[in-house]
Amino acid sequence: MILHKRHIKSLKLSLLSPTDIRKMAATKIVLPKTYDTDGLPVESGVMDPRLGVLEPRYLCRTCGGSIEKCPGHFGYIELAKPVINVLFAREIANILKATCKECHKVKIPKEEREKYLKLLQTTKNQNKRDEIIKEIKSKAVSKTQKCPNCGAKQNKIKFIPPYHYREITPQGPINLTASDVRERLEEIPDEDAYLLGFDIENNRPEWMVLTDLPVPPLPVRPSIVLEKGGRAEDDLTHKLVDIVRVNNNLRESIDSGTPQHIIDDLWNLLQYHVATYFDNNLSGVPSAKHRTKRPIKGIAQRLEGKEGRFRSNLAAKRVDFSARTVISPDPLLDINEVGVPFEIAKTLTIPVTVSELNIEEAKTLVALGPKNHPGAKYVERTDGTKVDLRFISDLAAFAENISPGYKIGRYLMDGDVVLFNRQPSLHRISMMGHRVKVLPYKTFRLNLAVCPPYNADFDGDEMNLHALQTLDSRVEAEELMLVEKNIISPRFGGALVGGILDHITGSYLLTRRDTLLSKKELGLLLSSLVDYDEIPEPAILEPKEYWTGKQVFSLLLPKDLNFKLKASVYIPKTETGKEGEEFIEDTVVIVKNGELLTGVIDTAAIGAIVESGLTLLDVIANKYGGERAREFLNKYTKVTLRFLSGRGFTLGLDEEDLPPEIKEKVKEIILEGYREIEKLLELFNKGEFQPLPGRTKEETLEIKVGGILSNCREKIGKEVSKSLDVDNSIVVMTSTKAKGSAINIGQMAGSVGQQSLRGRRISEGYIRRALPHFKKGEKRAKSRGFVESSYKRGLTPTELYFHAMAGRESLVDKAIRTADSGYLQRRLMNAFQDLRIENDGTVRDSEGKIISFLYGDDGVDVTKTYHGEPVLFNELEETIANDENKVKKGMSNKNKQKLVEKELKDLPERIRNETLKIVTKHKINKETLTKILKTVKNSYLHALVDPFEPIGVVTAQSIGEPSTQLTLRTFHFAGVAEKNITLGFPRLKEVLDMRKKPSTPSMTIYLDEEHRKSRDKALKIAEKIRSLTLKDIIEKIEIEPLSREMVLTLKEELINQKGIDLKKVKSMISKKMKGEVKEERNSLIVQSGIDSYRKFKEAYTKLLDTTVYGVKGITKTLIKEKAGEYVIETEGSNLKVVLKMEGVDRNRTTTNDILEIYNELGIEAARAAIINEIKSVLENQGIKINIRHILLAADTLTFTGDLKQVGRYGVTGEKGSFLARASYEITVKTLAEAAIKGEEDELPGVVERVIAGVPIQVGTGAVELYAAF
Amino acid sequence: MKKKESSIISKHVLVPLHEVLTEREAKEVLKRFHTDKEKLPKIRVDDPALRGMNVKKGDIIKITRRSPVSGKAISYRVVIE
Repeated sequence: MILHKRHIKSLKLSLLSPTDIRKMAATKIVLPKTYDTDGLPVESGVMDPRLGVLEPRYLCRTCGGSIEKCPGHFGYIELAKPVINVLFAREIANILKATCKECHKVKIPKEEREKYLKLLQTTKNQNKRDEIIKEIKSKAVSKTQKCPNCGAKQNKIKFIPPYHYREITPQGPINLTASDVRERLEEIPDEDAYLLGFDIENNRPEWMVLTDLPVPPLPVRPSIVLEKGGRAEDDLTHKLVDIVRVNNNLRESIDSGTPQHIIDDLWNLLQYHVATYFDNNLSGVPSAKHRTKRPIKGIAQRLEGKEGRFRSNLAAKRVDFSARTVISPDPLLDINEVGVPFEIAKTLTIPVTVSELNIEEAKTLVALGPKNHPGAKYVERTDGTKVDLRFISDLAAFAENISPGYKIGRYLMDGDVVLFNRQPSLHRISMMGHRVKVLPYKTFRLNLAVCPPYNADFDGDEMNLHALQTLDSRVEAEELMLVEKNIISPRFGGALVGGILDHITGSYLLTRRDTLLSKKELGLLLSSLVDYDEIPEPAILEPKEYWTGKQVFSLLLPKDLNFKLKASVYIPKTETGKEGEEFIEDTVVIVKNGELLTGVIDTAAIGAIVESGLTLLDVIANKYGGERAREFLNKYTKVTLRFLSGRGFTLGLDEEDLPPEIKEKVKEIILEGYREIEKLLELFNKGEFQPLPGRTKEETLEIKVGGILSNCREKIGKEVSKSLDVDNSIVVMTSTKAKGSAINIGQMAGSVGQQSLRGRRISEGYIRRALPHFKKGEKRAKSRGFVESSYKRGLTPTELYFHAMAGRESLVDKAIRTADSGYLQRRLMNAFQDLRIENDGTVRDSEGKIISFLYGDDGVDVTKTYHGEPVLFNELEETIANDENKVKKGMSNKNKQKLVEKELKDLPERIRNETLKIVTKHKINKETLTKILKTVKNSYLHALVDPFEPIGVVTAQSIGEPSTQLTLRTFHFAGVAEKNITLGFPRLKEVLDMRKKPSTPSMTIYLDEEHRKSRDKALKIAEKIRSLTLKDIIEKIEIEPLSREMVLTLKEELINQKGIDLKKVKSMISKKMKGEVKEERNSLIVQSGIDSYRKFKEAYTKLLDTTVYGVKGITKTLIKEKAGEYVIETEGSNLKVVLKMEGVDRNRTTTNDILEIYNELGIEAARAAIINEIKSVLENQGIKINIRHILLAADTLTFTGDLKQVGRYGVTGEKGSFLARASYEITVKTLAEAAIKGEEDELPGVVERVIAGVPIQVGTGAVELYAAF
Repeated sequence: MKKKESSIISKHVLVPLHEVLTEREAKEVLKRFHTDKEKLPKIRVDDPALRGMNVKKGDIIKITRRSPVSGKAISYRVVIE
């Protein structure tokens, strides 16, 4: 038995020396043959049996192992001539350039050499060392003339990828052969190689040029047997055959004295083959192809990319003891159960070690054997031999022989905790622990309420199940991963598991005031509850006993629950506008002491993923814990569905019927819209059209027409909604937010509305029209995609076509969005995965660097909060308010403050302040206050994050998962004179990628005291800011290309109005055009002195775009009114200049260009800007991500003092672990460099440990359990 | 002239309070978080927020931000070149 597991501690890469290659080889490979005519492998050929075993029954010739035991052995090929190892080609070039060809030392003077030597010896940090070495190299290469050590003249060395080197001697360029290169590298002294970054204890530079090529063992490149019977060799084998063949050819030619140029050609060919064997994707070199024209897979190709070794076989693997089928719903299952088909339960096993405590059960199971369920599949004796129970005839007898220490593999049974998952696994909730319930039939079954976290529906979805094999993992699953322990989302602090669809419709109808249940009906409902406290007294006694649905619902609630919220169906009655009006409509939910007093239960109360506000479910889950919430949900789902099934709920086509008056109204609205459009078109055609500021006439027409039509649709939607009555099934579903929304009703019953492509009305397809059914240039509603019909009435052919176009656009958008958001998620995960919470609430990375000093600024775990708030202040206020009248002598506000500050002194300031605010509003005595403060303190302490929580992963997932919902393209601004700003996913990507300039840079300029109250003054400043280019002040340009003459006719009025200094303009032009500028009446005559016509053209094109007035970069300004002052919003950004301008408020003016903020205001300001930008993207799309995640992300991007992007040139690229970097993006180059430097990866972070099979240092892997004996 | 510049920067809404810690205060912070200077978040010596302040490489800056979560949040950065 294994008591101690040994784990890999570190992985070190280095170069392989020719000596080592020869030593480790089992044989020398000389024949370019694989198998001979009898089908046996050729000795000293590429498939020599000394290199390993391929057939199951054979034994290895070298080590005697069977196919399971023998790992395969290397061989080697003695190359006739040295060959450059392509993977190091660039590095070789750098070294050649940095060393002197005579003395072979690094070309830096002695003092610097000493300095660097010392520096390198003392610096341990790999990143810093890399910087130092880079400096050394650049200094060495720049000294081109003479070697500072020996004085010899230096020649320039050119590197021609992928593997050629050319030295430019005074006599002319000569090609350096691989041998030449190797010789030079050999001469470099150790110390110099060290200065150039070599791990000199283990590596020598000349090893980068191969003299002997290791031949990989057979299992690395196995052959396959095709159906037709023939054998197909692996790509690598083919390549090796080529190499051996050419190598032999080369050797013969050298020996037999063939002319040099033929030898050179053969040598080149050998180099080519060895190069493509390593990497077939080289630029400048045709990739070697299989006979079928398919490029062969070189070694590099096996490692890199999504399907390569790292991403597909190491960081992720296919596993045993897993299962996958279609899922189907089962409302009678517990929330945390999963229905497992018998066939699956009889295939997956759990290993159980037999001990005196379970030996009887074990014997029973073995006796039942593999044919029964429950049963067992195998028995493993103490010596390790496995017995397959299918082949035991007398199971009972065999069972008797079982003794402690044996292991049995028993079938999956009811109650076993397994991992259940649905891909894509975007957040940790996509994998949860479920208890097995073995059931007949072939699908996995789950309770409907648990669909939202998995994002599962039953239209054919499949899900995966993992049977956990070790006790450790089963305990972790049961303690941490069960569904009930993960009800609250780490993303926004609300319930993920909850009521959906029919649950909501059911409980709404159940808890409506008009739902009365007879004794019989009550009985039926109670029977679905199984256990409840006691039957309540009927609410109505005469003439018959009746209970209300609310009473039934109250049976589910905890007895001390007090809660109040507005139901989804709540519509403020603006007519009455008085307090108390809500009660009339029964739309405010009030729960007192576990009784539902008023209100209907719908999405707002028990829905899953309700981002808009606190739900009843949130409170139950957080306040009473997962177990209680599980009970509640189980009962809730059963009761509500039973009620709905009994009552019946359906949707008929007649429910979309509109009363004739409404139909008339709809028609009228549309006709009115058409009439307005006619009017506009008339104006337009007559030429009396007034365009909007900043837009052309056509654009304005489009905007206005579009506006009219979307207005129509809105009005129609409203009319239709008003006309349907409360019991209409569609209204029930939409008002309770179970499914559907106002737009669906409008489209089904009223009118589908305007279809759009890329934010505009449909206009393309044919010349100046969308379809040939319309006239060219026709701009009216119907010809540009307005669908007048409702879904119920049906669409006309052209309407159908337009609708299909719009539908297609949205599908394409979704498809691209998944890929892009998936990549973002991957980048975020790779950048953040090592971050964990330490014991003191700090967030640190795998190297111990501090990212945040207190997670989320308060150390709170979103999972333990009420939508982000650790303390339920509403409830607090309610409790105080209720007991207020009982208070005889209340405390003074001053004493209240003292007590609050004393009791809550260790809590965050904001919580203290909130509590104080509430407490000072009401009368309260000291006893109650102390009790309350204690509750507050406990709530807060209870909500703190656990140490070692992998919040890097949680943050990455919390940002990545909702990014799937962000729109990819954003065309909302069909409005009047709105700015154009990138929103949604593209903007989020820009911020996280730390893009140098946003695609739509924009500033918000606040004005100082003097200017902010007057629109005119604001306008004046805006005018000064808006920049004009030379093009803008020129009426006409005439160019005479031959004589290089330009005549620029100026816009005099504009120039005078703006007060543009022509002198400056002239001098700027003369500088740029290298000539003279003369002013003549209202033009400038330029005589350029540039010779080359091309350069002349370039120069004047650039000239026209030069800013001559205003702030460079700012193209448009807009005056807006915000909170009582005038503010300038711009297109284009130049913070540096604007902050210095007169009239500008230097302290509030901001921009969305984060780099500018970094340069002008510092790293902390940049951090704040990042947070603001991300927040605004999310808010604009209505997506809620708790701010703690954004804070952590911003911290991670700024903790180095400058701005780092999420990605291989940023956070991820700076990781010390080469395994982490190699498995992320640039695989082979990373490994090659790591080998040269002799990097040692001590597996600090998550992904490298997964690759090495070592428990990760985050979460449960960070702690070890010790047992006391 | 210099004074005016630094006050421009430090009063901007996006820029939190930056203060240089004394030797002793710095040592306390390092002790409290069980760490060394290299492991702290960094800030460049030419960072605009530090203008007008007498800082050199190795100093520790205490940053007091306003936090939507907790009211006040404190962070530290070590000055690098």
